[in-house]
Amino acid sequence: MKLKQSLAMAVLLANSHAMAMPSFMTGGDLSIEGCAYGRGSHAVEGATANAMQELASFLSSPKMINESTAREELDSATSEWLLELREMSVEGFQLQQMPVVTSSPRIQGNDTCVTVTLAQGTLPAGQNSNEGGWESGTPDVTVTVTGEGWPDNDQGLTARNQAELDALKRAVSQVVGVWLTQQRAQFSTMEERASGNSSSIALNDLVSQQLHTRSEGLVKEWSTLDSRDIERGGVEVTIQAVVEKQPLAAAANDILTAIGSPRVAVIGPEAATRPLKAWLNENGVEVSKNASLRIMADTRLKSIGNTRQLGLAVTVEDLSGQQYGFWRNEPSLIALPASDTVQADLIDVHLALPEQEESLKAELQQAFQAMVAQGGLLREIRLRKNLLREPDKLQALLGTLGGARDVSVGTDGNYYHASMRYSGATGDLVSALRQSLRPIAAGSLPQANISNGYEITFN
Amino acid sequence: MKKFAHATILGLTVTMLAACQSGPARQTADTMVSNRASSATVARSAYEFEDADIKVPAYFDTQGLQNCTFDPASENDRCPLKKPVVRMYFSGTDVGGEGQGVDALREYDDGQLLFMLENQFAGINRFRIITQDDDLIAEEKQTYLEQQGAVDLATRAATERVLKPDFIVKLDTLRTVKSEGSITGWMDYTLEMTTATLNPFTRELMSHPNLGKIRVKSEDVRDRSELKYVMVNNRYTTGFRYHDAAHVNAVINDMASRGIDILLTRMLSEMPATAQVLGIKGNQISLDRGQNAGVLPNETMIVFQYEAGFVEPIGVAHVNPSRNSANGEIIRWKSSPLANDIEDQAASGIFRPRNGTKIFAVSVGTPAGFLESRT
Repeated sequence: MKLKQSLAMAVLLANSHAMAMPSFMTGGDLSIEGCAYGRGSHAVEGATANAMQELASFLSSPKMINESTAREELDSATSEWLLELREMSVEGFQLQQMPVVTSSPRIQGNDTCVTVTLAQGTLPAGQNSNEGGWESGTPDVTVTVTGEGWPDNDQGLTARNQAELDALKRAVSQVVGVWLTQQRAQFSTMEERASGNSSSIALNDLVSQQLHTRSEGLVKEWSTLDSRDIERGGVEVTIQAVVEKQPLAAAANDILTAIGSPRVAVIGPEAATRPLKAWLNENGVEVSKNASLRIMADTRLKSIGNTRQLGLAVTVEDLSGQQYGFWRNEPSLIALPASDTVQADLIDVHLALPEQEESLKAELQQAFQAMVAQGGLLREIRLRKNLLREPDKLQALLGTLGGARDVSVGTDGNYYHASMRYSGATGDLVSALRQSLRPIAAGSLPQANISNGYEITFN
Repeated sequence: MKKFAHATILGLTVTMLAACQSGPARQTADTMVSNRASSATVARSAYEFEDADIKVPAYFDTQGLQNCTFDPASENDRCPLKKPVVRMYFSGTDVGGEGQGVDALREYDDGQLLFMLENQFAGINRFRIITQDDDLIAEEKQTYLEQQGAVDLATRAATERVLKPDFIVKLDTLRTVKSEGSITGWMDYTLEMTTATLNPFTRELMSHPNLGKIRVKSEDVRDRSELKYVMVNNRYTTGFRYHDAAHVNAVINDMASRGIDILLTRMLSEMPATAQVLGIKGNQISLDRGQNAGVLPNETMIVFQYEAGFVEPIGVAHVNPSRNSANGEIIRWKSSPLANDIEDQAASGIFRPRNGTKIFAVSVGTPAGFLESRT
C-alpha cells in the first residue's frame, strides 16, 4: 500500500514536471526545450541555460529516468547510455561540458525558446588536463650579440676583454630597447607616436649609456659563441647573454626618474594644477616656481546657451618655448549650467574620469621621455668675449662635455652665445663648464649668473 | 440597288473610322487646391469593419526579426526594429510686416513647443529622439554631481554618450494673421506646418515619411466670438487682446498643439506598425513584436498572408501589445476561401503558417481613441 502511494507520488511529480520532461526523438537523442523572457542573445543564453538545467535535473533524478524508460520502451543501447549519464551526473560531472546541439531560437509570445539536443551515445568530454594558455613572462631574456674590441694598454685590457665588455653593453642595450618599447606601448594612448622614431632610439641610447656602468649586475650569465680577429689587432666576439628583466627594468626606471624628472613649474587654475601636482609628486618630480620646465594648464569655458563646456589643454614646455608634450580633454563629455563654480566643477569631473586622467598622465610621461630623449633641457650659455682666449675651440669643447648634446655657438654683441641640451641640473653644468673651459679661457672665469634656471651668463 | 450598296459601304467605312478614333485617354482629373484646415484621420475600430474594408494598407513591411540583435545600441540595419535616431528642430519663420496684431504674433516663442513635439513623437515609438532640452540635462548633471560625486558622474558620462543622430526632423511653421471687420472685427490666425526628415551631413531630404502640409486655423481651436474685438476711433477698446503676446500665444499654442496631433496621426499612417503572426488559435493571434516595434494599444490591424509577393487579407484584428510581443483578436474574418480555411484550422488548435507562407499584421493608422486618450 505504502509502495503504491509513493509510486503515485512519483507519477504525480513526473506529471507536474511534464513541461520539463524531455521528449525522446526518434533517433534516440535526448532533446529538451528551454524558454526565457525577452529577445536577443541574452534571452537565447537564458533559454539554453534553462534547457541545460532541465536536462541536468532530468539526468540526476532516478525516478524520472525509470519512468520515462518504462513508458517510452527504449532500446537497450539508449537505456544503457542514459544510465551511464546518470551515474556520471551523480558523480558530479559538469553538464556544461557536454557537446550538445542548440537549435536556432524561436519566438513564442514574449519568450524566446531553443531546443537543446544531446545526441545518443554522447558522453561528457574528459577533463582537458593540458592547461594551455598564454605564456607567462619569463624572468630572463636571452640575446645573442656581437661586440668588437681593441687592446687598451692604459687600463691593461686586452682586445678580447674589450670586445666582451662591448658585447655585454650591447646585450643590455638591446633588452633596454625592448623594455622601453613595452613601456611606451603601455603608456601610449591613441597612436604609437614615439615608437620607432628618432626620439625613441635616442632614449634607448641614453638609458643604455647610463646602464653601461651597471651592466655586470644585469647580465646573469653569458657564454662565448664565436670569436675572430679583426683589423688593427682587434677581436670580434659573439656571445649569448642572459639578461635579468627585473633588475634591468628597475635600473632603467631609476635612470628615467633621475634624469627625466627635473624640477617643474605648474601654471594654471588651482583646480587644474592640483591633480597635476599630485601626479608629479607621486612620480618624484619636484614642483617649484622657478623651474626650467613648465607644465601649463589652460582652461576655457565654452558657452552653449545657459550651459558651459570645458576645454582643458596641458602643455609641457621649457622656458625657451620648446614644447615636449600636449594634451587636451574632450569637452563634449559634459556640460553643466553656468554658475560661479562651473569651471572648478567641470575640471573635477573631467579629471575624475579614469581614461582622461590616464591619458593626461601618459602624455606627461611621454613629454618627460621626449625631453630626456632629446638630451635634456635646453640651456643658454653667454660668455663675455674677452673671457675666452681661444673662442674657435668653444664649440668643440662644449661638445665633449658629458651629457651635452646639440651644441650650437654664435655671437651676440659682446658675448659668445651657446645653446645646448644638458641632461643634468643647471648647477652641475656650471661647474662642468668652469672645469672644461679653463684651457681656452683668458684667465680665471668669474662667477656664473643663473637666470630663469636655464640661462648661464659669465660676465 | 447599286446606289444603295454604295451608300452602305460608305456608311460602314464611316462607322469603322469612328471606331478607330477612340479619343484621348482620361487618366487625370482637375481638382480644386484646398486651403481648408487639415483634419485628423484615425483608424476605425476593428469592430466597425465590413468585409469590403478588409484590405491591406500601404507601407507594410514584411521583414522578419531574424536579422535583429535586440540590442538598441548595435542593432542591425536590416532589423525592422531598428529606429532612426533623430534630433528635432522647430523653426518658425519670422512674421514680417506691420498691422493689427502682427507684433504680438511675432513675439511667439516656440521653444517649449519643441519639447512638446519631442514628447509626443517619442511616445509613438517610430524614432529614437535626442532631446534638445540642454538646460534640463545640465541641471540634472549638476544635481547628479552634487549627490553622486565627480567620479561617478564622469564615468557615467563617458560610458553613456549622447546618441548620434541619423537624421534630423525639422518642423517648419508659417504663422499668418488677418483681421476682418471694421468697428467690430475678429482676428483670423493661420498656422501652416511642414516636416522634413533630412540627413544633416549629406543634406539629403528624405522622401519618407511624407507628412504633407498641415494647416490649422484659429477657428479650429477658438470660437470666432472669442477672437472678436471692438475698435473705437481706430483704437482697441474691448474684446480679444490681439496686441497682447500672452493672449496670442495661447491661441497659437492651441493651434500648434492641434497641428502636432494631426502630424502624429499622419506619421502613424505613413509608418504603420507591422508584425509577423506566429500562430492563430481560435480568433486569437500571437504577434512576434509589440511595444518594441511601435504597436500601440487598441491597434486596428489587418491580418494578411504574404506569399510570392502577393498579399491576401485574412481578417481584421484588435491588437494590444506587450513589451516584446502582441496579442490580438480577429474581430472579422475576410470572406474568402483562404480565410475560411485558416479559420477552420485555428478553431481546432493552433494554426501556424508553414511552407514559405507568412502571415503578417499591419496597423491601419492611428488607433481609434488615441487622440482622445493621448492628446
